[in-house]
Amino acid sequence: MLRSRYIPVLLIDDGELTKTKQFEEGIYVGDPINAIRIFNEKQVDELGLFDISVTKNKAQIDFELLKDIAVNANMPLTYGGGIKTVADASKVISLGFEKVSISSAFFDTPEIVNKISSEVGAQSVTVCIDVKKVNHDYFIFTHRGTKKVKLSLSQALELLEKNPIGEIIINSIDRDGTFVGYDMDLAKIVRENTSVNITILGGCTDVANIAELEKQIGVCGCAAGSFYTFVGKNNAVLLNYSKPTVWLV
Amino acid sequence: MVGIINYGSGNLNAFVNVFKSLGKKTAIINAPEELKQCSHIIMPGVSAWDTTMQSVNKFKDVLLTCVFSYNMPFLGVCVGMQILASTSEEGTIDGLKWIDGNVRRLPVDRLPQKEHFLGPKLPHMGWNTVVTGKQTNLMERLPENPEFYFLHSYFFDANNKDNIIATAGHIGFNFPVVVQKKNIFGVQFHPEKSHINGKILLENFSNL
Repeated sequence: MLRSRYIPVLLIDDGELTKTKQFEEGIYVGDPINAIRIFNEKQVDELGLFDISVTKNKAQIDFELLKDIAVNANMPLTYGGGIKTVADASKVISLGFEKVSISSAFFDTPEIVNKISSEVGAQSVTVCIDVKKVNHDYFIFTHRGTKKVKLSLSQALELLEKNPIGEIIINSIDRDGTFVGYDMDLAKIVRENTSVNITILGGCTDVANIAELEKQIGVCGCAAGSFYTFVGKNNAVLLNYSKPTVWLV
Repeated sequence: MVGIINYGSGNLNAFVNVFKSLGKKTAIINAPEELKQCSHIIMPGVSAWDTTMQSVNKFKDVLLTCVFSYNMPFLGVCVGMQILASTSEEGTIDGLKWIDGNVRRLPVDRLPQKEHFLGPKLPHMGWNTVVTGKQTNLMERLPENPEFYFLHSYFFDANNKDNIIATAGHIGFNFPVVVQKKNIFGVQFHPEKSHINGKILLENFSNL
């Protein structure tokens, strides 16, 4: 049977790895290629890479860096950040990424996901939704949490039912980098309102928290940034990897 | 030398890396004629059906020579496996028709709405166990029920049981994930992204 995927997520800012807290200015956590090599050795299930500088700074996608990453990676890869066109998506896939993640482009022009799906296959298209809780309600944001999207979360999920994609990544802005635990209510709402694969990101505390997420919503993608980046009470930077269950390979 | 066909979309570097770590030579094949210098052929696949078939058809004549006259071992991966079939529900162009069968969508859409939302999802994405039903050199030295990485919504519905080497289960449904007909092999999962199990499988292939 299919099992959950345990996914370290790395953030790229101007070619360097960074780790944010609640989407605020991040701290330097290392070099992308070095991180890829470390996670190769750890035989991670998948790796998510998001360049948070592209859309916000209206910059170009760093295809050279992505090529370097793909050449060095032995695990399945997802890339997100500044993908606006079918050509962008195709290029990332052709470099050796399994999946592309779209965010602001989807909220600007939802049809873009259909166009990308028909070129690279729906299984390779992911939509990343950054969610913030405001007055007990969830809202979607883009541009590193600065731009509120008109669509409600349920409207966005409904829209994604009609457009073939492979995966939805739900990223809690409030929980980002906080180690307070996944937002289980948010995960459950999403789980009950979509037929698409979901990956939950934001707030992961430890392996027990991942196990709890699986208990709450079943087989899913369990993603984490800080949990797989920092170690110990003082949050020393040390890329690490662990899963709730020992899987025999 | 293992030739990896480059048709614009697909994960070539991952294959090159694995073979490099095994001390095996590879060549990225950009023009059909270059295939004739190879000993083994890999057809990668990260793309939609029609996109893939349009590119594959440019290689078709040379592939026929290499696979059927020179008997080179051929390994199709993911969509690269599916193109061995006759047709696909994902596209309109005919497949290579090398192994009897058709490509269909995994039947998740037939589940009732609630289960559809709370039950198994499409695409079949992630790590699943593979159950081997027939012995083949390709699967030697692998642990029992090895895990491999999958990413697909369509499957190869092989008509002839003799061609089905291994299966996997999703949405309460078992489907072929390794097929073989003589020197022609297809795997639905991605061995190039499946860590140690993938490495073993690719080494077995290069030793055929």
